[in-house]
Amino acid sequence: MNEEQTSFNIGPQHPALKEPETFRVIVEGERVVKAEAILGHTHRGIEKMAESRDYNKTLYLAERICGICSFAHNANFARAVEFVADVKVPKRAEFLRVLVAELERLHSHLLWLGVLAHEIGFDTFYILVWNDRETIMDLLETLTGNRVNYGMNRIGGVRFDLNDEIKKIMRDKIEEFKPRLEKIRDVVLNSKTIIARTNGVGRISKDLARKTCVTGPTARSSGIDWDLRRDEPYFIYEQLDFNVPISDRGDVYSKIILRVKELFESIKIIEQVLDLIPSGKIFQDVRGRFEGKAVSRIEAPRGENFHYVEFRKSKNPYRLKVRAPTYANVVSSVEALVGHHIADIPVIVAANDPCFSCTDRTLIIDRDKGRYQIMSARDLRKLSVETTKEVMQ
Amino acid sequence: MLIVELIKNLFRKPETVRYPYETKGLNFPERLRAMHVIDQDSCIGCSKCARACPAFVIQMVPLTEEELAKRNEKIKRKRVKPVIDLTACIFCGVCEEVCPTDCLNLTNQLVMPSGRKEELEVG
Repeated sequence: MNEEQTSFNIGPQHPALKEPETFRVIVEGERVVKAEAILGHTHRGIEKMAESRDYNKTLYLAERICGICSFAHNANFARAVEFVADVKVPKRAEFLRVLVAELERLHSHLLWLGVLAHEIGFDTFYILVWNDRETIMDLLETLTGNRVNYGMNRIGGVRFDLNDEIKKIMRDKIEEFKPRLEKIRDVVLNSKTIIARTNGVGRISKDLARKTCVTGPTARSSGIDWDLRRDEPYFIYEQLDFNVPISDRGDVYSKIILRVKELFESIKIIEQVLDLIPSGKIFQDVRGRFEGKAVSRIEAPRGENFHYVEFRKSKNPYRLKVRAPTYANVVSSVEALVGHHIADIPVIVAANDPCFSCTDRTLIIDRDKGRYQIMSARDLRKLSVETTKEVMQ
Repeated sequence: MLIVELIKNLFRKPETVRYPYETKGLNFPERLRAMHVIDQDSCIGCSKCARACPAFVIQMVPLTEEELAKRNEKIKRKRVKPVIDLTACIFCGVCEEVCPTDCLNLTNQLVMPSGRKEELEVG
C-alpha cells in the first residue's frame, strides 16, 4: 500500500440481512485497487449440531441454513439421505419437489432484483418487484403452509399434497403473474437508470469465473454453460422442456437480464409440472439405521448446492458437510470490485446474490493522518443514489 | 397514462392492514401452521410428539394430583402430559403428524404476542 492509498472495511455487522461478510478494500481516491473478503462471522455450527440429532430432525435443521433457499437445502439433504437409505421416491413427490423448487427460484430471483434496484436507488422498481413477489409467496403458503422454511420434505418424499383446488389457484395466479413479469422485463430492458448504473460494471470474465469457481447464474452470466438441472438432471428435470439462458458479458446488467430470463423458464417449468403431475402416493416410509455415505448436488436459486452425509450404522449423521453457493461466488465479487468506484461496491456485491449483508458499516481510515470515519449503510446507499443522479444528468 | 395511474392510486385502498389490530382482509390459508391446541382429555401421554420434535420444545410434565383424579376412563394410565414452549417452536407440524390420537393440532391462530412467558406455553 503506498501513500496515496487508503484501506477500509465494509461490514461485518448488518442489522437487517443475513450472512455478514467483511470486505477489506484498499482505495486510491475513489477507485478500488484491491479487495479481500473475510468470511465466517455467522458460524452457527450446524454441521456439528446435525451429528447429535437423527435424520428426521436434521432435515429441519438443514432447512434453516438459509432462509431464501431453504427448500434447496432441505431437499438436498433429503436426497442425500435417500441415496444412503436406498429408497425410491414416488414420482408424484419428485414432481412436487420440482414445483416448490421453481417457486422458490421465482421468489429468490424477484427478491434479488428488488434488492439490486434498492441499491442503485431505484426504489419504485424495488417496491413493484416485491409486490409481485407476494403472489409467489402466497402460492408457497397455500401449498406448504409457510412463506419461508416450508417444511415440505420428509425423508422418502414430501409432506403436503397438491389437490385440485390448490392446482386451480396456482394456474390462475401464474396466469395473473405472467403479464406482470413481462412488465418487469420491459422495465429492465428499457430503464435508463438500470442501464446507466449496471452496464459494464463489475465484469467477471470467463477466465476469472473459471479461476474463482463460481456457480449458478453468476457463472452462466460469464459464459459458463452449466446448469445441474440440465447437465446432471435430478428429481424429474429430464422430463421437462426448458432452456438455460446464458450470457458472455459477465457484468451486473447481464446478470439482471439472465435472472429475468430464468424467471420465464421457471414459469414454463411450473406449468409443465402442473400438467404432467401423476397421481399416486407422495412418500415412501423410511425407518431404521443406515450405513454409507452420499453426495447430493442440486441447483439452488443462487447456484450449486452441495451436501455430503455419512452414516455409520446410526440414525444420526456421522458427518454432514454443506457448501452453499454464496461461498463459491463471493471470491469472484472481490475480484470484480477492482477498478470500480466506492459507490459501485454495493451494486457489485449485491449482483452475485449473496445472502447480502455487506453495506452496513464502512470504516474509512486515513493511515497517515490517523483519522477514521464510519460510513453507515445509509451513507453508502446515499453515495450510490447520488452517483445514479450524476450518471443520469 | 401517468395521470390515470395517479387518479387510480388516489382512490385505491392500501395494500397493507394494521396487523395485529386489524385482521380483516387477511387470508390465512388452510394449511397455515400456527398456535397449537392440545386436547388433554384424549391425549394418552405417549411422548411421541416430544421425541419427534426437531426443536426440542415439547416437555412431558408429570400430572398434578388434581389432574390425576380428573382423568377419564380411557386414559387411566396417563401419567404425563405434553407442554409446548411456543417461544422456541419452529411450527413445522411434526408433532401433529406423529400424534396417534389426533389430540394435538396446529390452528391458524397467528396472533400470539405476550409479555409473559407462561402465556406462551401450551399444555
